[in-house]
Amino acid sequence: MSARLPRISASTRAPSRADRRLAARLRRRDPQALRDLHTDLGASVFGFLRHALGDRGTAEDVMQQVFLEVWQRGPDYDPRRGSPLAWVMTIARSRAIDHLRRRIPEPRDPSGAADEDPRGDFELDELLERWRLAALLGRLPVQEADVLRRRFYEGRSQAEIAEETGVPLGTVKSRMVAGLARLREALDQEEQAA
Amino acid sequence: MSDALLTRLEALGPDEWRPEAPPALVMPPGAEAAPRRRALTLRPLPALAAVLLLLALGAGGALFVTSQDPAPSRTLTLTSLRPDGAAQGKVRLARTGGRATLAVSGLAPSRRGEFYELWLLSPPGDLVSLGSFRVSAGGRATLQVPLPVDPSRYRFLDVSVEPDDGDPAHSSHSVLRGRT
Repeated sequence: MSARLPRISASTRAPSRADRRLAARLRRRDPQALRDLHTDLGASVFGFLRHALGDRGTAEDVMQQVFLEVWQRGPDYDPRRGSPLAWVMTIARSRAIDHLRRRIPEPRDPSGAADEDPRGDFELDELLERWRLAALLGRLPVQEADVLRRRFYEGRSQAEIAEETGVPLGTVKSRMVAGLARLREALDQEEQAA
Repeated sequence: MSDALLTRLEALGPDEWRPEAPPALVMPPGAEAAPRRRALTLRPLPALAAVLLLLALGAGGALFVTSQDPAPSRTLTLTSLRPDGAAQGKVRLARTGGRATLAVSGLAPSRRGEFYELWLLSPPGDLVSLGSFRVSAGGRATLQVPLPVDPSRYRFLDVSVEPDDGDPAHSSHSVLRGRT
């Protein structure tokens, strides 16, 4: 198989205080650090795995492997190399690929088609990016995330959102601007070391 | 950047906009028993500021600190909805809000194709899913979940049995319930 390895970057980022604190808690083996990571990222990791693997039970099993690995590798987590979100999602991607490879009967095609992954790496990376964005959306204030969902998922205009929610149009606009700005900033921080 | 972001947002599906609650975290073996070492470091400036503040306020300072203590965590009891049921549960709402811990016992072990789900609900149909979990052969489970809403706005905490059919709605098969 010609699966690409997870991206490894030698570049570094300026970690936030929260990321440095999390790294310190993981180094000293604080179980609450793992719980906090699960609370913050669990839904996105599980969503990614469920879509990547196509089965809830399998996704649950792999999810436990991911968080076990997070715990085991926690002391080595370096926030200068990537955010906790990028780090945990990279582990999830690797474990998903492991599982997808295991369940392919080998060899699939003696003529050489065995090089093809049933769920291509490109598709998996796209899925991963979607769920990274979902994780960042989950950190927005609820009202801002709600406006963005109505606008970009339900396709409502700002005027329609104002009418549906009873919120003044000016407030809808300011929430959308604030939500997008917050999201851009979060994405910029996420992609600093990518 | 902005166009790319808008395109990415428009490409998201319903699951990404409203992610399903993840399964409960199973703590790795030994994690709970790990010593929680925390080095006590004295930072000169904050320490000096604290000393000066205490000196300035005197005994009043102690009273101020006491009165600002956060409210203690609340524990709610869930009871079985079957008259003869021995199942029960406790939900602890963290004193800082935003998080709840569920511990259940006496529930039937999870069967294949089913899982349990914790909800906040106010009849007839105001529902918020807080998280899903499985119950071991011993009938016990613990679950820690974030609270996306203020639980006092809902009348009940509810535990249901859910078929793994992809339908995010409540199955109407509740097994535990307690007032918030």
